[in-house]
Amino acid sequence: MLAVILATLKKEVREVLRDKRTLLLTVLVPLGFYPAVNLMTQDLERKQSAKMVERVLRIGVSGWGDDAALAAYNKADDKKVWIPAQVDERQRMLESGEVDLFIEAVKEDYKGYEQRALQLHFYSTASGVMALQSVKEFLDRMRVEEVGRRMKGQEYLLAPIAIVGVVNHASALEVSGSKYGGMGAYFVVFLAFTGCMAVAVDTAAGEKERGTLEAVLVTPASFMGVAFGKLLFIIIMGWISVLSTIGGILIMVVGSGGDSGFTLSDVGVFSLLGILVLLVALVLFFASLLFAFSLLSKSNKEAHVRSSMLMIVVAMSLVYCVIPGVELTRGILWVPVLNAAMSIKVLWSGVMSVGDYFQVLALLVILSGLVLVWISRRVNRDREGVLLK
Amino acid sequence: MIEAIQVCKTFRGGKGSDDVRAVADVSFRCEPGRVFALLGPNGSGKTTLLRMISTLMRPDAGELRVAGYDCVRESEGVRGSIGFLTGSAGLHEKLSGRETLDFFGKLHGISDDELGARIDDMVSEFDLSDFIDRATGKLSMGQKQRVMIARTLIHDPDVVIFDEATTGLDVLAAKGLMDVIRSCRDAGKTVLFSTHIMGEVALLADDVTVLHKGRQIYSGGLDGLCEGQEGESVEEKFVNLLEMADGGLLSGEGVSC
Repeated sequence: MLAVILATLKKEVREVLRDKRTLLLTVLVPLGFYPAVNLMTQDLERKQSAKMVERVLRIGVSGWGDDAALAAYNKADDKKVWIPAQVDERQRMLESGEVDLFIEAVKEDYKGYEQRALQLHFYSTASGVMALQSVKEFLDRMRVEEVGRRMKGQEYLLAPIAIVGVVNHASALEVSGSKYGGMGAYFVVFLAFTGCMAVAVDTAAGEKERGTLEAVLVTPASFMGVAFGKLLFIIIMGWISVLSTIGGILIMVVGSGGDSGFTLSDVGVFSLLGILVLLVALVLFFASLLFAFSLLSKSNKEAHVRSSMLMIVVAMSLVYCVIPGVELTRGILWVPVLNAAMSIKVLWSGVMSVGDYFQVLALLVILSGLVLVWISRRVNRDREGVLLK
Repeated sequence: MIEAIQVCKTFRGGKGSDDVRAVADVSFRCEPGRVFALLGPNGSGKTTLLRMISTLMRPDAGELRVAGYDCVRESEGVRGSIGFLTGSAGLHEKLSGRETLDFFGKLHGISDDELGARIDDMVSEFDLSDFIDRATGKLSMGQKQRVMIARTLIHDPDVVIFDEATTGLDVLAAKGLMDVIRSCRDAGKTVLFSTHIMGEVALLADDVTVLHKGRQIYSGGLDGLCEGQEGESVEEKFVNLLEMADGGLLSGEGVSC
């Protein structure tokens, strides 16, 4: 049996290594897909940044102690509202979204002048960053105007300012979880599916159509051995797609790691391991289902139609998963694919319970087993109806 | 040897359609060192019968034995004893001829040491050396056919079955296949081939069974098939035989010579 499994696996690998289109779909597309989409979203972020200029930003300020200055700031830019506040209100105001940015000012003496040292606090991933950028540009402009006024010997309006620090109150993990955990999970799961599908369709339905399966069936090799060899091959190709997608995400993480201050070690070994094990179970589930579909189809076309319908269901589940505000609920834990995608997102942020994790894992493995038992019974009951063209 | 005793096979009809009796009470015996032809027009039940012999299908009734093995209870033994080539069979087009033979040799349980020598034998016997390492998808029809024959014979089976194997072949390739059938016979193998071309039967067969609409309407020697039939050519005589069967001139039990 093992010899048959290995011979079948070797034959499938040989075939796929010579099939450029399948290799492109299972290896190169997953590798480049995430970076490409990321570049596109960066462009979107730039456009959103431009829109931010139009938006009125609310800025909480503590310790300024100079109402005239704040009034001057409010007057200088009607897109920014400066709100006096207490420093102990900072966290609440940022988390609730009451303000986009919070400035903590401390009066200090600088070469005989009174100066305000500013700490800029924000709590966000995307809009906060853009608010920060906008306020920094504004403060710079104000500082330059003020210096110019002094150089001309005019009366100065405002005390000099210096930005001495910027604090993001969202953790690096939260930032990366939002950036890579959400869309990343979507891509890993979806491309795991397409990686399996690219080869599963041909392994049974394609061979049936070309008349090569019949040639295999008239050898003394057990069909179970041949089927396991093919299933193993689909799993391997699905995994290669997963690894390629992860490779693409890592390229982005490494590329932007310096900006966000995030490194992979922030995710934690157990979370990464958990994600990888979950992906093994997910690929097993996809491979079992797609192989069963392929076996039940009489032609490549029929197998493609069946698999495509399943692909739509998978894509819809994943779109639901990336909608803001959707969380891993008890109900979602019972929905295959959606539960895995949501779990990856939650695992990345390191807040998934062990019980929930093993429930998702067990469900995927049990469902894969049930699919394989069902298809093997179907083949045993109606061997000629299922396996012959 | 192949032995069929009152073999029957019926396909259940789908919704709104009747059952189809593909093979009805067919009996014959193929001896080693002889070529047995299964003759009949398209849809006569030849492929279904050959699929039962090769264990791809199970008979509903009757008994089928190949090389001493029962086709239902000892299917693995049967598959180990036969080489089966059909006209509709294809090749794994990304694999080379050598890789194809290697894969099928392993499925037949041939050890690595023995397999290398066996592949060399096949290359030399079927003159594959010029293209054995090329992807089979890039070969001509005749070259593909030679690779398929080598694949069928890689395990040196006692029984060789060809199902409409000359379909789609040019004259030279078809002649090559007929030469293979003769050499298998000369090597003492049991050879069973199905065709709807009477000319092939006349050239090759020692024994013939004619199927028509699933029924066996003739079983015996080639000479007996033509005797008593009107028509100048063997084809005409064959057509007359089928018309007689359609007209009910032959009994459901078939004729014997």
